[in-house]
Amino acid sequence: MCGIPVAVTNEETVVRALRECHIRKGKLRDNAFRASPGTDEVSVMRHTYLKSDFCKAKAKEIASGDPRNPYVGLAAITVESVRSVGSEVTDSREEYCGHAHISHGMVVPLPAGEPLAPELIKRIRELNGKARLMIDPECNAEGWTGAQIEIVG
Amino acid sequence: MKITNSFFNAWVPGDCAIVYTLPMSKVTRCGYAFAEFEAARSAINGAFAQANWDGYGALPVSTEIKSNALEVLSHLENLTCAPEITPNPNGTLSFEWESNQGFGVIEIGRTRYSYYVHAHCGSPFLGAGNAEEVNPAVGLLVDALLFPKPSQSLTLPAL
Repeated sequence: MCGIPVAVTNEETVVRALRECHIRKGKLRDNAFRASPGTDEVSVMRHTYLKSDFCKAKAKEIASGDPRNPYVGLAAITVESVRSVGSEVTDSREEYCGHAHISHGMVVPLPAGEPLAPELIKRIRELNGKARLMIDPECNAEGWTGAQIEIVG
Repeated sequence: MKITNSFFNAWVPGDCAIVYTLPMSKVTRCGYAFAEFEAARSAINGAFAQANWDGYGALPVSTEIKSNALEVLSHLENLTCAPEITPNPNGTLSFEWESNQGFGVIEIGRTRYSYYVHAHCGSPFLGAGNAEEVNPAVGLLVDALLFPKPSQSLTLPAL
């Protein structure tokens, strides 16, 4: 039983787990908000409900397996910001309670290995510009010890 | 001789052992840009070859796409600054430039490419084409909009 409301409100903050491949020179790369081929789903966590420690633990779980590309932190963005560029956030509790998807309204084309439509590249760039890069100052610590992730106001 | 720093468009105060001139813009630059292009080549060759490198089901970057990217990079070397290389979950590679003037990206795939160049002041340029025939005007566009030189004409060939 998941106690989180299905409706995702504009005021919520959602976060995306980040690995080293998602940042460069202290900035978030656009690949952080791109869906896998054949899908229009970018996995995020509903931070407003799950809180920072859970999100960090889940992010480390997602990023495990390749020591050359480790967990580095989270990208935080308000649902309102996502919707302001024309994308949508929907609850997807079938993955786990508190999981959601960002959808851009355009499926990443198949066959794989072909570029996105330039309009989608533009959209993702705009999304990146509204997101906050939250580098984890203590990746090995159990809980989140960095700056406040929840975006208020 | 006019020598500009490839990233900041600043005058280089001292001597520069190696210089080269961009054939289209005629701007001469310090040779360390070669190192930046070498770094880009290295990033392309070293791009993830195993699946799920992002933890979300990303595809590996194939040798075919790496080969396409190296080919495009070799053409860009005569047109603008070296890009940053970003692997994408759909197995493509993006060339990215960012300056105080704006942002540009060319995404290279197996048979296609897309581009998006947006200076802070002005409308964005978007387009796509055949990966084997990347329009050199895209490189010129990146250079003109993101790394403008005081003496450089902003006239561009048709995209």
